[in-house]
Parts: sequence; structure tokens; C-alpha cells
Amino acid sequence: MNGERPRVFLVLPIVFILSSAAGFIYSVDPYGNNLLPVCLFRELTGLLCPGCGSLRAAHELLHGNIASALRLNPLFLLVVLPFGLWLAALWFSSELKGRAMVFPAIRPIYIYIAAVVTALFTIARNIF
Amino acid sequence: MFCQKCGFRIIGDANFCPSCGSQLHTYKGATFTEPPQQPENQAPEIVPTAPEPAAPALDIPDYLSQAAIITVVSFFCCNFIAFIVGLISVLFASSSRSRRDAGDFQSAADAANTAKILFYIALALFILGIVAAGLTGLFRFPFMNHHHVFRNVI
Repeated sequence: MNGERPRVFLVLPIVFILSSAAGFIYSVDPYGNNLLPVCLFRELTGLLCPGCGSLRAAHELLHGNIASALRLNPLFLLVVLPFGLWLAALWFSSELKGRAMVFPAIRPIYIYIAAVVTALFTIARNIF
Repeated sequence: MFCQKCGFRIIGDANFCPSCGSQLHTYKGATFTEPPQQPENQAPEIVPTAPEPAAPALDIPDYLSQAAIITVVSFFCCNFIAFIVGLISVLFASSSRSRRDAGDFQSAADAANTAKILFYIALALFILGIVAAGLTGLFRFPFMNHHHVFRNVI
């Protein structure tokens, strides 16, 4: 019953991947090169998808420009990024305790709310 | 396998969680098999290991954390379709969780199976989208609009 040891072989590569991704987003200028992927939905339809601008928002956030990050994608900055960071913190803390991550149950109503908010945000950002 | 109540990782066969003491159910794939009834006078700790080759008994994988992660990452990478599929996968996974907590193990296993399939579809769409978006970014396909291409970076 060795349930107490953290899975180092899993934690270290993920720490490496996440930190190098952050370093890449920090260092690559998203406004003028071919290194970053483009949004296929925007390329094909010309409309903004709900995630458009989140990479640029992350770039601006890493440079400390919260206002421009908020302007680029408020849904990412206020909802998705905190949720993702909380998920990552939950996973790392449970791994370091040597336990499987027990994901808190999400009631279906919250998922419907998330879908409606995303849809409204997408419509609003394409109109205004 | 893991304890479904407290998440304690359990190596080998056990009928009760050594951490919180709750009874462990055994799932093989997506089908739920009732745990064998203990005789009244037998202590649970001295249950002999089964002589049959120990097929890895899977805990019920409801894929909620995987589905949540692929949904968040798809949103960040502008993968609209993978995001929607991931969100539906989260829906099935959470309904599996609530059915399991209500004791309806068979339908929980069914919902978990659907969540698993949707998770893998979202993962495939995500990888496909990343490859396609990366290639588009690198080569700027001729049928794309070039004048606003840098504004389209995710």
C-alpha cells in the first residue's frame, strides 16, 4: 500500500511542459510572426470564436498588462484561466500528497450555465 | 486502483480502503460487478487473495478531470469544436459521478463510458486542430485571407 509517494515521473515532465509553454508564450511576440497557430474558425468564417485572443491575453498577462489582457479576452482571463489554475493546483497538491486527484463533482446546471455564458459571450463579442 | 471515497491509491486487491475504511467496489471495464458478500463472522482484513490471475481491477473512471482539462486547454487553443465536445464530456462525467453517488452503478458506468468516448473524440479534435492551426500559421494557405492574418493568432 504505497499510496503516499508522489509520481515524480509524471509531475516533473508536466512541470517542465507547463513552464516551457509559459516561457514560449512570454517570449514570442504574437503580433508579427509565423510561430504561433491561428484560429481556424476565424480564418474560415471571419468571426471571433470564444477562445480567440486568449494566447495574446496570456502573453500580455505574463508581461503584466492586465488591462490589455482583459480587452483581448475577458472570458479567458476571468473564468477559464482561474478555473485552469485551480485545476492545476488541485492536481499538484493531490500528487504531492501521493493521492489520486478527486475531482469535485460538478452539478449539471453549472455546465449548462458555462455553455450559455460562452454562447452569449461569443455572440456579444461578434456584435460589439 | 483508487478509493472512490477519499482517492487513496491502493495497490493490489482489497475490499476496504486502508485510509478511510469505506468498502471498495470492483469494476471491470465499464460493467459493474457486485462485490462478493462477506460472511458475518469473517473479518475483512483476512480475506485471502483470489487464486485466479489478478486482472487489474479498474476503479470506475468517470473521466471528469480529463474532460475538464481538455475543455480548458481547447478553449485556450481556440479549438471551438473540441471545447464543445469536451463540455458535453464533462456533462456526462459529472452525471456519472452523481449517479454513482446515488448508488446507480450500472448507469454510472454507462455515462462514464460515454464521457470517455467523448473525451477521446475531443482529444483527437484537439490534436487535429493544433496540427491544422500550426500548419496554417506556418504556411499561410493561399485560400486564406492574408491581410488580417496576424490578428487571427489565437
